[in-house]
Amino acid sequence: MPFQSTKSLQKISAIALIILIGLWTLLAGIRTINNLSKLITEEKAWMGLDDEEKRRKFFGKQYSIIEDIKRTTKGKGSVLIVAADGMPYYMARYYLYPQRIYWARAFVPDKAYAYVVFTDKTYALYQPKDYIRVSDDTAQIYKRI
Amino acid sequence: MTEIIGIIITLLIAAIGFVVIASFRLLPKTPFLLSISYGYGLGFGLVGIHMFLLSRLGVAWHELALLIPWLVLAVYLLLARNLKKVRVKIPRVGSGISLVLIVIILSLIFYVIFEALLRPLTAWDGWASWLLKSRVFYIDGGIRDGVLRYVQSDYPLVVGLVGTFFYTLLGQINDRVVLLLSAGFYIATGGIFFFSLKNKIGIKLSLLFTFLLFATQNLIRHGGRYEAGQADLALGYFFLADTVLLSRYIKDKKISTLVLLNLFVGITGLIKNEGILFSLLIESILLWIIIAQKRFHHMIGLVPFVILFLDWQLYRLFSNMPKVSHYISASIHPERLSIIITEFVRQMINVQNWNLVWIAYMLACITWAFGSGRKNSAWIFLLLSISQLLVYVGVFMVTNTDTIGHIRGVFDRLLIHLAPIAIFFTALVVGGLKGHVPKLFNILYEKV
Repeated sequence: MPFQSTKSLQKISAIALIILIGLWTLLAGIRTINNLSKLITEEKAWMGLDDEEKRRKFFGKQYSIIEDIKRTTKGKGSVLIVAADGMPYYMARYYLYPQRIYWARAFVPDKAYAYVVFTDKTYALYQPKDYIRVSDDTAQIYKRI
Repeated sequence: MTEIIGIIITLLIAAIGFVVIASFRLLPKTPFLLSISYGYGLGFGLVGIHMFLLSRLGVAWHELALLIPWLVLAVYLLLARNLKKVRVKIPRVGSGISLVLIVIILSLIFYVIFEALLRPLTAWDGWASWLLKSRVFYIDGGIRDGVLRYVQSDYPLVVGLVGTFFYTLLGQINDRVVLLLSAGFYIATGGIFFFSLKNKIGIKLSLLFTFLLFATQNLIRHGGRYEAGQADLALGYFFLADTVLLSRYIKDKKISTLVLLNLFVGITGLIKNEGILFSLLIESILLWIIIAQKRFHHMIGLVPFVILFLDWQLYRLFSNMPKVSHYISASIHPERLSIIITEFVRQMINVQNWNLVWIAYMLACITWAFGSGRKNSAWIFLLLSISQLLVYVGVFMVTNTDTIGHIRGVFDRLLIHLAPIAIFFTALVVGGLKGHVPKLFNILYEKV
């Protein structure tokens, strides 16, 4: 009897697996059609844009901050980014290399940076000592005097 | 034009690997398309290792310096080896279903390449780590002292260095076209998958499962759409290649297969740290096989892995690399097991990411446990996928970082490493069910 029940379990699991593969194939087929349809729907918005425009479109304000830092610092001098999350720092470190970029969650004047960037305007409720504000476009950028 | 050069560079990487495989006859009597699929991963690893060596020797990364060793090998291959033996054999496809599947598979390949070329790098880990290194090394013209401390990474350098190789040959940094490297892994994974499977379960079923692999949304995303530019799909490719080569070695017992396997296993450990554990797992199995079967002269085949492994570990130890030791805590946290299981179940039923990959895999495991579908060395794929999964569970139980956030953040990527092996295992089990299912389903099966 145990042998027979094992046999029937074997059969049930085998049939269940085959049926599941059928469902999987159906689902994969539908999703493939959906994916391919994106070429003429969703992705149309990306075609015709250059890479910089695509970055602005994808990253939004975060990329504008990077562009602002690049424009203001002209790629020279160390930059401290004061931000609650790491995204502007990691992006700046990537896009602005070889310029040295650092990150702090709060501004503590323990080290001299050429620039201090507050990505959220509420952070800069006071003027950092020894710095003057040089940009207020997308983030507040201060330059060391 | 940049896109065309990018495609040529990606093909060049596959050609480099192919030249090495063909020159040293590492895969005799293997179809060209399978060899070239292995060639992509081997070329990727060798190019990265070569750049790493040049940098340590102080040799500038001039285009010629990067290509000369491979050109010499290619010339040797042309002169000393009979290239007529390299046959591009397209498998015969008889039925209409197979033709439909081929068209869909080719459409998915086209789609992923299109997606890779559509947008510049968007994945967080791409600009925070992997392609950051490519950019940094390219701008610096080498691996400058202290730079790894600045990029805060103790991860291996091969992926970053191949990005630099790409930029060097392209003559510029282009973080859109470089994503073709990810699409390359998507295609090469499919190549190894299909051509290794077809002799075991037949062309029709192999095409079906290759389609199911290619249609997995997480693989499409990492191959070209939004998540390209990271190393997880590359690791998935290497896990699959390692496992398939291991099953081939168990069957053919050839030292040439063992050498190639050890090159692949060595490179696996140089893709991501997670690869090191998998490499050690494979090496343990190999040691057990060699000792159990008293094939001691095969120990020499393990040398490529030992060299690559030791070189990287010693470099990590003695260079100015940051040590990310905070990742592992001193104590084990068994209470996290429930969170891990919950997240695994959440991923399993996440149809958006995986379609039915993991549900089918679980059912295939059950079917296999009941004794059905136990053919074609399916056990190796089961053993390695489950062992690596347990390794990840173990790591989660000792990690120091915020558990729920950490697990949620990385679990879908860890499963990418295992998905190709899991689908391969499912395919083998389904392929072995002939005779266990009603005749109605015999349409799936053909003579192998």
